[in-house]
Amino acid sequence: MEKTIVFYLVFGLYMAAILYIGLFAWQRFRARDIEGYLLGGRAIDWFVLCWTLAATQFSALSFMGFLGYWYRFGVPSYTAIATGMYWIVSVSTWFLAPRIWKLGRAYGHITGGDLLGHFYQSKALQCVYGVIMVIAVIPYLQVQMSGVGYLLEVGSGGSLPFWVGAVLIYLVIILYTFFGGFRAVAFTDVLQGIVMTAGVVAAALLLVYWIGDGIPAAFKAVATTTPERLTVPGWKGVFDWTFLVSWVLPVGLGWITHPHMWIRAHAGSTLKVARLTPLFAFGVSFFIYSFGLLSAMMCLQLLPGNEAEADKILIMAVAKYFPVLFLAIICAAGAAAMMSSLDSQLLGLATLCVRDFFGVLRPQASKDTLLAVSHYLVLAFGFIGLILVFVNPGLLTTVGAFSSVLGVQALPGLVLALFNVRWFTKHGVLVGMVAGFVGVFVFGFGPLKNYLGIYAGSWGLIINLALLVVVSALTQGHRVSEEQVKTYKRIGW
Amino acid sequence: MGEHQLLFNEKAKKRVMYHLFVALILFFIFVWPVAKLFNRIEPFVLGVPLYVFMEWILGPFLVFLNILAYLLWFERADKTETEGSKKEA
Repeated sequence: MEKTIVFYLVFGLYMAAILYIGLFAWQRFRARDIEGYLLGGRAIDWFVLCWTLAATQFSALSFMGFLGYWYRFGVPSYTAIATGMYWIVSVSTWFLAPRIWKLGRAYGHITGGDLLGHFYQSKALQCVYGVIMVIAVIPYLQVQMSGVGYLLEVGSGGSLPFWVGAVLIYLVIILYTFFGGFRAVAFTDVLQGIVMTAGVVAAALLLVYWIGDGIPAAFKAVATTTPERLTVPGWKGVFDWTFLVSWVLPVGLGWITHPHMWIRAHAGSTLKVARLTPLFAFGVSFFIYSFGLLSAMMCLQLLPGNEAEADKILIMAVAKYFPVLFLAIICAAGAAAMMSSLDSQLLGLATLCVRDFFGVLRPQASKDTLLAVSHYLVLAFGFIGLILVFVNPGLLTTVGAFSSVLGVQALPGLVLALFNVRWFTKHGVLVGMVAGFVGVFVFGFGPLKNYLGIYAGSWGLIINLALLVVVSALTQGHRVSEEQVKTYKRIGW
Repeated sequence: MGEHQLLFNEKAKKRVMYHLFVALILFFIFVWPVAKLFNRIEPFVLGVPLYVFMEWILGPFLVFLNILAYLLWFERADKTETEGSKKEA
């Protein structure tokens, strides 16, 4: 009983702090238009932007899923995930973010669809981008909400049922996101990011130095008991070189295309801020993943043979070896990881719909109408996410696993637009994007699943690029005008 | 936009490409195919297996340096640009 009270107290205080910060941001910076509501008026300073980028990137997947992967498959899966997440995400972000920022300032872009629609002068392309991103991100909402519900159930010793936890978190998130928009999300992300990073680092250090005998001893023990986990191809040979490389590239490259990541490239107050954020996000990612790997290695020694429950392994270890106060803090860190992604995804989806669907259908809509629609879309997507938690369809969870590689299908078109490449046409981009999207499902399930040992996401990208070239070659008469390319070039780097 | 600004843009573009190339080289070294050469447990370096050391410590450190070098170049270029504009004025 006493344990449960400590848990509720710590968690309650944390939720109250998040709610306070979110509502403070709403009161302090009232949004008067959609740029204010969805982008914080493009005036977010470096500290807040850096943390919101890092916190958004880390989700239920990072906190529970990836750690479970490292526990199960060992270091090769760390290479795959960490390389994808903090090498490629950071590199692609520092490479693309300044250009995205500059074009956004010049032409008022907010989403990737805005860029595609504007550069290629194609509303159809903008709408298709919107549809693909909605399909890629919605299942993610369900994963985050389910993750938080599960954490609360475990942390409270089963006294807080899964569904109650999910509803409570939903209400907190909706309250500050609905009213405060991007600023509320970004401000709460600062606290969430700090709690999340501190929680992951503290859990690893305590496991290694309090329960274990230090880092060398942890790795020596793994080298003795399960050495196959320390080199490629890892446990049961799952991560061989072909699968590793074909997994890393599309998964890593896909994240920046997601609406909640893309809009952050526009939100910085200056170009310097846009350039700086990837470096900081890299640092935070490095801490979280590195210490996560340490925890996974320790869990291999402390709780061996739990491959079937790998996703829960950190919580199981903390619950077994640490006092309840620490369990509550780790659960708060986990909830921070999930909530900070969930609120950003809600806002990202609302942004996507208001710009790539509503804005295209009703270009003359007033400022107030757009603002009201944005608010209601946040509410609607939150509700959809909550419904999905209860319906819990298996198909959606599976689609969630492909979230990044569905997103990456939009990347070729986006990069070509950012670089003002004229040879490729809107038809090529459109056909490639749709075919790549379908290709992920064709090579993700059934008899062709990961054909030739190549990950489905890479197959999607290969089909996408091939059709992009072929269709563009066949439709050279529909290239972007030279004038359009010149105006884009003038924006510079 | 003056000529000076356009020149700066070209310089910036080249610099971005250079650092992107370095990032690609690092990818080939630490992910594939060069990584096959150090895909071993022994020897332990700084208390961790060789492959883990390369993937967990050395690789990220070099990627970090690459991004840092890129940012510092822009920082310096921005300063030069600002000073140049002041002199022209």
